[in-house]
Amino acid sequence: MKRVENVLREHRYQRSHIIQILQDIQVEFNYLPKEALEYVSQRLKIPLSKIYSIATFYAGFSLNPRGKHLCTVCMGTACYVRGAAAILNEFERKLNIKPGATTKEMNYSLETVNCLGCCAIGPIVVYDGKYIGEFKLKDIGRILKGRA
Amino acid sequence: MKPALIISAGTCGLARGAEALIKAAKDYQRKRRLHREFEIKITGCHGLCEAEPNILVHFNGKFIFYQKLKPENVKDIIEKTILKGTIIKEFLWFDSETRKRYVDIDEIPFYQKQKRILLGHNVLIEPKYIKDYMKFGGYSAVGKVLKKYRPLDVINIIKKSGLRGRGGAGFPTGKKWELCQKAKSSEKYVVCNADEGDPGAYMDRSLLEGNSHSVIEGIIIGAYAIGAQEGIIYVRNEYPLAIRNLGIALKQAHNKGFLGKNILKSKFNFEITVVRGAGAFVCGEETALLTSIEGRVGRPKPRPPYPTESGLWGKPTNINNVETWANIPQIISKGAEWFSGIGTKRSKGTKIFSLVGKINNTGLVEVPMGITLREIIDEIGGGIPGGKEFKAVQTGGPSGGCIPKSLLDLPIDYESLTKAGSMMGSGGMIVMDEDTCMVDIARYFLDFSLHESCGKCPSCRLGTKQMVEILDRITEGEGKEGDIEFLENIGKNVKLASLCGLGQTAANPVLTTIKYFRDEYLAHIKEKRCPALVCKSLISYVIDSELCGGCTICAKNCPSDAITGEPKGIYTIDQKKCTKCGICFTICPSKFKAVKKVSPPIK
Amino acid sequence: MIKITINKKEILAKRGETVLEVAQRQGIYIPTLCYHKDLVPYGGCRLCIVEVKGWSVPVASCTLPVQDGMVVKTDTPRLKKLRRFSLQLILSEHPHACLICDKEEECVQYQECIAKSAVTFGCKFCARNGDCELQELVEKLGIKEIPFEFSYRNLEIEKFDPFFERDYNLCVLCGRCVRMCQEVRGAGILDFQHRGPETLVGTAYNLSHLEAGCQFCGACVDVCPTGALRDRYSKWLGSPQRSVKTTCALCNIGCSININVRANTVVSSTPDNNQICVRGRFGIAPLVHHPKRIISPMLRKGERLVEVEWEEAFDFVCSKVVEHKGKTGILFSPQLTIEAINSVYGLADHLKCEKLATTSALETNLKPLDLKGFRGNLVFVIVNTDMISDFSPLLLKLRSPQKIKPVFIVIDAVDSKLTQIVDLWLRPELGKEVDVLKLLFAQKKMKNTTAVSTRDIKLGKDLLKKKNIYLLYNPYNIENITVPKYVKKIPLTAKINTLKIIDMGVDSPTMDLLQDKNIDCLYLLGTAPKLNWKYKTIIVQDCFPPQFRFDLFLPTATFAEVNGSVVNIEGKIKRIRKAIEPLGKSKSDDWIIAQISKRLNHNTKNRKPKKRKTIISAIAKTKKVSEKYPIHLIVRENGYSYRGHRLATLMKGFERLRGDNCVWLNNRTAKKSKIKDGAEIKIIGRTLNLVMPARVTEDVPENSVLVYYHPSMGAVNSQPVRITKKDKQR
Repeated sequence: MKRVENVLREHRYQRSHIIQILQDIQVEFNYLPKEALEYVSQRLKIPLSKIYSIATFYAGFSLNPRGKHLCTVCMGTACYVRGAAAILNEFERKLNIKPGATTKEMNYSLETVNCLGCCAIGPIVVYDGKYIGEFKLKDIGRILKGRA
Repeated sequence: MKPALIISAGTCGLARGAEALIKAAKDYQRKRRLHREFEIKITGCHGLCEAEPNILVHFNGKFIFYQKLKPENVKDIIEKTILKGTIIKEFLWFDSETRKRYVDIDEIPFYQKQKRILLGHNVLIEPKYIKDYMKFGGYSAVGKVLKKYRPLDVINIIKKSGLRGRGGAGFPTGKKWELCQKAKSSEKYVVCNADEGDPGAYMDRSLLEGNSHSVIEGIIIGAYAIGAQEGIIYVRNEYPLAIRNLGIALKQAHNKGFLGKNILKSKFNFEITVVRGAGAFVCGEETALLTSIEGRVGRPKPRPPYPTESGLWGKPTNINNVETWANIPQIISKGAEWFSGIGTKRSKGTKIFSLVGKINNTGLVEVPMGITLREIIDEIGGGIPGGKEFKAVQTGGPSGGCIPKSLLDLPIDYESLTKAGSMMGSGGMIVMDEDTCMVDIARYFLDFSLHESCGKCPSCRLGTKQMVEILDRITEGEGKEGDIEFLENIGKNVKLASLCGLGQTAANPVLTTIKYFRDEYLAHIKEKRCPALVCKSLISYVIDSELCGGCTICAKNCPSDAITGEPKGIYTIDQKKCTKCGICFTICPSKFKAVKKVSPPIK
Repeated sequence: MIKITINKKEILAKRGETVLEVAQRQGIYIPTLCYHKDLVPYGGCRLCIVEVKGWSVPVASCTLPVQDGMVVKTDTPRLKKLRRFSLQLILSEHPHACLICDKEEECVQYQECIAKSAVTFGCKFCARNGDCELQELVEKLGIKEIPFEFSYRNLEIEKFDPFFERDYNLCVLCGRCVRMCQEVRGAGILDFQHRGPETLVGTAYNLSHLEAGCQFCGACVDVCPTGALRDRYSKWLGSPQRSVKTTCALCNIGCSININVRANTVVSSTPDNNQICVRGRFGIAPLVHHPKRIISPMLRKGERLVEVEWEEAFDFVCSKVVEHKGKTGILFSPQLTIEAINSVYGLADHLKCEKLATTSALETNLKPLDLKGFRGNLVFVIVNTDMISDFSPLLLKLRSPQKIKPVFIVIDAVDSKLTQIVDLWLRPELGKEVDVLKLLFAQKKMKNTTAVSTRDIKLGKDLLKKKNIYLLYNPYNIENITVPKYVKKIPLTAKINTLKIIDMGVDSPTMDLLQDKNIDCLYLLGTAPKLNWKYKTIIVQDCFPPQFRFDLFLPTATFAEVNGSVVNIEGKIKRIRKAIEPLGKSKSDDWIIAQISKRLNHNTKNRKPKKRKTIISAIAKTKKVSEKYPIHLIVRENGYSYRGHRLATLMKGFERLRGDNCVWLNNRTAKKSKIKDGAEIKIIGRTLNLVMPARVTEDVPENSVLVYYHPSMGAVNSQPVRITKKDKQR
């Protein structure tokens, strides 16, 4: 909770910063732990239901722990017309999870994003923060194998 | 001037390996101690994303454009071009339309038809250094305004320029400022909407990454005109580089006295803070954006009252998007007449479009209003790759519509696009070729709007849901007679019954595709056929026995073991086992191209 | 005034009004769903859309402020079409089979007893059938079919909380409950969760309302236009036939309520254009019709209790009070009507009884609370009193929007829902509350031994600067309060009629009465928790049987069954109106006493009872813990009782909500003494011996236990006790 307290202090305990606070907590923990949200609710006197409402409204927040590796498939229009749906399908099949979920052994999380603004080089997959442009179906095997 | 190696390092440049180029260049410069001979500039996006990663060599007044480079090429460029002045032909841009190579960036057809009054500086300015921006006249507009003009003068200039909002509906910017200026309140806000949510549009990102000072300068001028003490830039969190560069720029502007108390020794005080969005398309809607800044869920509120009367924290607030703000310093510096000389009668200035999808030269293009779609697609964009047939261009994102071939000679401005059933939006322009299914695209956009709906109005939350369900059915071959009319009916009602812009425009992609591509809908519904061979349920993959080389690759890679055959013989796909993942189609060696899609599917 | 035109009719309107308000005032019907008069307009249901001249798109009238010269149409074919469209879409998510069924008229004949079906898939299966705003709208908008695919959310029906159930499959997302919970009640238990087609109303993490800290005021239930939120008790009792406006006598606020009646059954009690609390909303109907109620006179004959007629009962009373003249003690609950209290005093006078006491906390300097007296820049300092639990309607008034937002400071060693919402919570060591007050108001530097950090004290001092300071406290929960004169003390007594009783006076504190060995006959109106020894005769006049042996039981009617009045904390006389006839043979308290008086030849009419000297419950000084008694006992007055019976004992919902029949024990203390949650434990003090189940909590500080009690049983705040596990049964 010290880490959460630090985040709150950085935002000078301003209630209006709640979205930014949640973003920073997510950077800190890689997701939004329940205990952290309860703590924020208590410290800032914002009802937990409201914080939860924000956390479930904005797509950028994850309430579940993510896996070691994060694969984000861009589903922007430009990527879509260049075959992003097939890439997502293949990820789903290979990892056996739906977007937004994490594999059982907590190795991979699969997510989608509306647009990364790199439309010119689509389809794009972001793997652990690295942008891979002109992604091909066969690249999936490659990056998943490179896990070690 | 000292020769310079200008490396484009926007997000897409970095995604394509610009980082390695930078490292190679820096290493080489250090190793050979060439700091005096040339400088390295790391800039934002140059616009022609297709060419990434690229390097622009500034040499003897020329800007030599080298494209699609690898780290090992850097050494050659330095040794040959910078030190010896020779041009390396194979790195030059090759234009697919004219089938020629070009040396100077300005000669490239992609750039020739453009008028890059906003993006032009991206090439010259290193976003980390405010001095670069100031060297090209940056922040002189703020100085001019504070010394020479009263707030009303500024508003009059903007009104006279004819500038209209670049984020969507095109409300006259000067008029908006005037409304906000007139609102009585001791506290006012200006907001920069950088929540560029339209998938397929990224000009705001590029502007913020490459030249955020121009946006900041515009906001300062606007704040002065309106009488605001505080500005907020609301940026999508999906744009980390833009947020970083913006942060640096704000700090520098502060240090130079363009922000803070008594700006440039005047009585004007102004501060800007950055607020990061958290992933909600609806927050591009101004009332939703404001509630989001206030730390709440971004559900739109009914207007009136308009934000110019009661916006952020109930105070008068003026919201413009990034591109609009970036235009302001230019108008102040060069005059309203100069600006209104560009464009059409009702739409002035330039507009940045992100030209993406099935197009040869993908990238950001800045063109004067009134240019035709054909000019953009054929001349700037260099046509459709692979000799495919152009089908449609989608503008305006999920709120816009698809414009068919027959309207390609349409001069682009706010009114003409609206008339065609689409809209300017923030300027996404997604080109589609014969391989794009219009029903599937309509479904894609609608599904997007459905999941981005805030859930408040039944028309948007449930109306789009009903439409998606019908489109799902149609793409799955379960379409019924009357579906098209029903879709049109729901679409028209959703437009009228919804509260905010998202709901009011959500049906546009469906209504325009029905209007211009009714045949495709009918093919899906009546013949159970997808003409573009996209809709999974309506196609089958088959191997053309005459083309199959028996290389076994498809069989080895088929995840469901649906492909059988003898090596060097002919392979066949068992339709019962096939999951239509399409791997065989993409993996079949191009010398054979034996895997084909057919529709209607084989039963 | 400004002029607007609605449907070609010119209408004068005030600036700031909405088009909907103006239309409603003029009797122009505009359909609404998410609109509610008590809530901030939301503009979400899109049914109240109107056309405004010069605007291309219809706008919601509930959020549209009138402008001079505005020309509005409310009834065009386009609007009708769009309204139908929106409602049809809403219904595409709401089980609507019955709404559009062409056999609707005959349905009742065919399907009789389906009302208790677990899943509502049509109106005939819904408890709100006939009282549903959707049904009304469907009729008004003339919807005969729904062209859309029906989608059932298939959510689990939430039945796990006390008092009300939630079936979000029926929810139309109008957000009334959300706005009620957030804006009006300031509780924030409910909010919209997720977005787009997944949007739902709910708590954080789908917690139960109990876990989420809900007060169960029921305001959400009352604004729900559908059957999504339903009062569990009244769910299948049918819709009420009439409502009786009366007063809730369960606490000292005395809220106006409506008791809703069908035949001679109280179906529910609902607020009367105000905000009430869980007691008034969910406590009354099940209390009135409680299975444990005794509704005939009962007389002990030998070892057996026998049902008798009133005559026989009165004969017994008369003979006994005469027999024990001068040795009869009367102990009455304050939760009677004023008329009944007067007749009790009259009877006592006639019997020359010098032993009259009441089961309520009293304070001599009690004055009527003047709500209008709170003006200016306000700070409320609340000591040892959970105002959310006990006085929530009052707290809402104090918190309601004013020019300057009032500041709230709580001083309490015990955690509660209140501490979560106030501006500052000072948590002293137990028994040091008064010291914290001294520190807050000290002019000079003082030694701080309260366990509240000096920084927090400074924060508190800053908050108090240049403000009008009010000190709110239940006098039973904190003693010896001394504050500077400029601080106004506002004692909050929990029981209704305390102002009346202070005015009339009593002879002795309850505790003294129960320890008076000269009393042979005890006459109880209401109950006492525990008797110290055997009396020769015990007469009980009450609704529920006591926990001890008695000789005669006189069944009284509850406040829902009688006429009369009560006086509340503000000193207002509030009417109690008879909603139903007294159940069985039960009678009102005043009738019973009048009958006894008559038989004793005592004329109750036109005679003012004499006043007695007021005696405040004896307060023991805080003693230090010792080795023998190592734990502090915290006692809070139980505001959740009726005539001395804990609501928690009578109704399971209250037990789950409050657990005021338990001992609350700090988790570390519990671990040390190896006591598990739910175990029966003994609390032993110098004058105390209690057995209660334990509840383990973090709310109570270490080395202390908390009980909710009423002031009769010798449980004194801060007294040292020891706790042991109850001996296993031999």
